[in-house]
Amino acid sequence: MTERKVLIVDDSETIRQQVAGALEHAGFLVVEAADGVDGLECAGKNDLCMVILDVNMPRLNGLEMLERLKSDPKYATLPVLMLTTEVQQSMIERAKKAGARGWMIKPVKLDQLVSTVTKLASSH
Amino acid sequence: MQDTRAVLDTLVQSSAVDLFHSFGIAVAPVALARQRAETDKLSQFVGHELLGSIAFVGKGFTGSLLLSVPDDVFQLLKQNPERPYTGRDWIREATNQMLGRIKNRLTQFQISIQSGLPSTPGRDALERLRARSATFLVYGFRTLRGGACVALGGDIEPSLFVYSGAPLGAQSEGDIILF
Repeated sequence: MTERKVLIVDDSETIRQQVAGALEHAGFLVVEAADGVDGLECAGKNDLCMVILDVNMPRLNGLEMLERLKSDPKYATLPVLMLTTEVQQSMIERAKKAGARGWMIKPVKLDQLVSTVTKLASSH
Repeated sequence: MQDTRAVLDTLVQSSAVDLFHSFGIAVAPVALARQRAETDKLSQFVGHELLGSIAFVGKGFTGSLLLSVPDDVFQLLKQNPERPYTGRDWIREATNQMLGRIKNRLTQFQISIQSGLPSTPGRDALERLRARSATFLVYGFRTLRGGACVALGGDIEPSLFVYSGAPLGAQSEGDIILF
């Protein structure tokens, strides 16, 4: 079976640990980054099936990282799920326009997240 | 004026109750009369507690939000032993989510705010926050392991609140929108 590797980018260790634990339990491999700069570097070094991306982060925020990632054709079909406290419609529209596949509002409901990741990752 | 202050009180209290509920922690707001007596007393935020802070800005106002939780309450959280996290990081994230809930509720009043990044201020940073904000509204909560506090500081003018009648945010906490 091909390994399914998910990148979680969030400046909160708490969120990374919670999400990574749930995804590993569901059979995914997980790589982590704490901001958009490290996230882009991590994406370049790994064969990913999915990215989970926070919005408000230091150095490079999630929307900027998403736009840079999706500007590279090799990531065109890579599913990205935004995970954030933000509810502003303008931000949601920006993510949609940039190529994100979904927007999840914190707090994380881990069972819901795992089923969404499973569904989106299988489409990649 | 009193009505809009009451709206703010309800908004902060309901946000905090929902936030702690999402962590599996039961909290009860302390009576409002007592809270108002505590306004502008930030000394309770310095001690053996976890403390988070986050700045925000809106049209015509700026402010900051503080969240203080006893370490014993953090110990109540069910963690995956293979994936532990620290109380210091958890309080940053909890503060971020607390402001997120307030932001979502404020959309009902046609108020949009942008948040900064959460931090864990030390005594000096707390003093700087106090110096910047003439008044902090302090909201107390009881838990099974001591008192938690939320403080809201800045130049928020309650008359800015204009109820729009819109449902609580287009989306709620925990929702997933698939494109």
